[in-house]
Amino acid sequence: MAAPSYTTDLVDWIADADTAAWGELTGAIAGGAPDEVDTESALQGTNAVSQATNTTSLFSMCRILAGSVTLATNNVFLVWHGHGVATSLLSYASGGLRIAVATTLADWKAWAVGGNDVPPFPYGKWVNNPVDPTIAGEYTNGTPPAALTFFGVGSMGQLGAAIAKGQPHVVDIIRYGRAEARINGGETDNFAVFSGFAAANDATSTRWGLIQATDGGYLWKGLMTLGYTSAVDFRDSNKTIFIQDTRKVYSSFNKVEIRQASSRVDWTGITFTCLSPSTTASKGALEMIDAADVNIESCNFIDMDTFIFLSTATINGSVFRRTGQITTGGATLTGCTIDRNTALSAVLVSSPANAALISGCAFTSDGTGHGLEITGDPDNMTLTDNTWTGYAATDGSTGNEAVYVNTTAGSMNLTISGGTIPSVRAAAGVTVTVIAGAVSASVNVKDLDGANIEAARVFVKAATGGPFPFDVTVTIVNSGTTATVTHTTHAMATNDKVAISGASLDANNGIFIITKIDANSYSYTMGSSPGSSPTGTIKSNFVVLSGLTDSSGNITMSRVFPSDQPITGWARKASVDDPPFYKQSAISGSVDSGTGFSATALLTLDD
Amino acid sequence: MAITINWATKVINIPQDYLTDLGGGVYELDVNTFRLDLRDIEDNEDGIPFQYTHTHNTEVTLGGLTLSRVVEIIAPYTITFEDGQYAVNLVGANNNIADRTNVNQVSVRSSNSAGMVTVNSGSGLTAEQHAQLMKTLTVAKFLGLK
Repeated sequence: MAAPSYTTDLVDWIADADTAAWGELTGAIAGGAPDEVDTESALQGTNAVSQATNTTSLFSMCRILAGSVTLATNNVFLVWHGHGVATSLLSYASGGLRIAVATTLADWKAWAVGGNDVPPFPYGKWVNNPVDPTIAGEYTNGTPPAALTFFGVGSMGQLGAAIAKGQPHVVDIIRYGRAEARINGGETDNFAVFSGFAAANDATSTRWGLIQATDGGYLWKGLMTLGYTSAVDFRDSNKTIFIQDTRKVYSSFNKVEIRQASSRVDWTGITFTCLSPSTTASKGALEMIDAADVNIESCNFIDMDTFIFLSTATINGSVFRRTGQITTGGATLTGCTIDRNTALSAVLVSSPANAALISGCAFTSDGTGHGLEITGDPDNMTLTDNTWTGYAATDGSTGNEAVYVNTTAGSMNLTISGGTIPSVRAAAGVTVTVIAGAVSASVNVKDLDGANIEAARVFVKAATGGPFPFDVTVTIVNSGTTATVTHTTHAMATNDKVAISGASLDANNGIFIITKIDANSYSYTMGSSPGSSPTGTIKSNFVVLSGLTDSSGNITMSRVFPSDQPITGWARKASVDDPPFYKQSAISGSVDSGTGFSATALLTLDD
Repeated sequence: MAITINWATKVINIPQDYLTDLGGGVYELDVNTFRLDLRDIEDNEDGIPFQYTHTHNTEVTLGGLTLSRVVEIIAPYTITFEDGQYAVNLVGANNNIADRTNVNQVSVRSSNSAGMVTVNSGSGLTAEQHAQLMKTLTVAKFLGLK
């Protein structure tokens, strides 16, 4: 990958080299004559415009160009301006500092953007304010310009006490665009980082006002595109990003977009915090547009807007405090804090399987809304080690239940393994059976060198002495591919697995997922129709684990065990298509009803 | 065709075309390949709930000699060769296949030896020489010369 690049889409509207005459807007002429060649006050480049403000009446400076500028949809214009004695500015509500657009000096509209009560004032002098011109202005004169085409732009203000000295009202470069920080590239020892963009942003020749270094972190606004036209490798840690109070923009103005499937974004200890959530129009959102490799570790997102992740994202130990909705898109959330989310559903997932990827998370309600909303089709699932605080205490439909199963009609089991038991709301036509007190049974398969073995097949069944069937003699009646088993007090539930052996018809033998009929019978589906019912001494065993290990050599199940369950089984790995061959390794022990079961199976080569 | 296991009857079925045709009605079963295929079946979704079919001890080299591998089919598993008038030579390992074979028209011939070794050099027979010798013996037997 290439070295990182940091660019922007901003276009100069009133450039640094522009020293043409500025005027004063009609009705705001109390200030001094604009000084278009103020090289002493320049923030960007070498030139600024300034005026004296020895008045408590409205003052203004506006540049009317010969040709018009038309902004595209979602474009804003950004003005560097300010006042050297900001303690004297009126408040925001009184229009202390404003931005104006005009057709002529007599035909204008303006928006309040600052005052002595809006940072960086009263301590600072300069501020870069964006304005979405489609928002109605608070102040007008003559026939104000409509739509997105303007001839002039400038700054206005009003003081509570006149300032006799100097030319404290200043304006520097004015630009327009989406206000997009475009970041591409990044490579080993030279990853894309926040400081990299800030360095580009803060150069005297640029001063884009997008991501600028500030005390304790970076002040950000606009669209931050990670992977604009090519992949980005953005890895940064322990930084704080302050989201600017932007009051005259649309809600999605401040946003991080992650693009390009080959991009990688690793954030560790990054904090995004919206500085003024009660006043800003855009609190800052994050959206993965493409399925990039995103790894978020121990980060904080405070008072922000929505988050949209994809399945390639992993979020560990991070805090989402008072944010908007988090759409996981199949992302894995582990050990996160979802605190007082402001949405009707704090976390939205598209399937029960995606919900199961949320574990070890602490959900705290703000008094309304759900913690987790599950959509898609109903399916049995397990929530592991999540805690739910401040939600409705009982199941119902108040809108404040911890979990909202909003799937299509059907039934599903919601197994709770660890954590606290959530209250549940089920959508119309959905039946949710909450199974609480579940524990995990897991086996890790390794070779003698300690390396995990993927795709090893593990089979663990009940042994004698537990609550579930061990070698119980049953009878079976077949009908087509459906086998109905008569099994007295089997104690199992739908979607449990049984191992059937000893049936005279081979189709009846094997491991099957059952559908519980009643306490004494269940059914399962065979791979083929044997045409008759089996005879022989047919045995049924409850299956604890059955399947292949994952890339970490693990296989896990979760279930409620009413009492301790002795188990026996084995792990095998012997595929002609995937050598080497291993000898079988035995597994035995007991699933503790309170703590579960965990074991390691060591396989030796069978060459 | 591949070997199969009927889990209801615990019968391992070996089709004739699984064997190597040596000609003259004589076939050969490579016991090492056979036991690997059994392991493959034991490892699949159908086979995993059932006990393994055999034990296996690999070749061991001692003092310059290599003791042959040993494959033992475990009860209750039995073996059925596809029925027909042919003979099967078991090669590649000491084994108890003949003991676990369900009787039909197939003649199963084991070459187990208490001191069986795998000869890697010197005057031992090559695999081709062994096959030729077995073929000659079979023809001689057929002609009543032995």
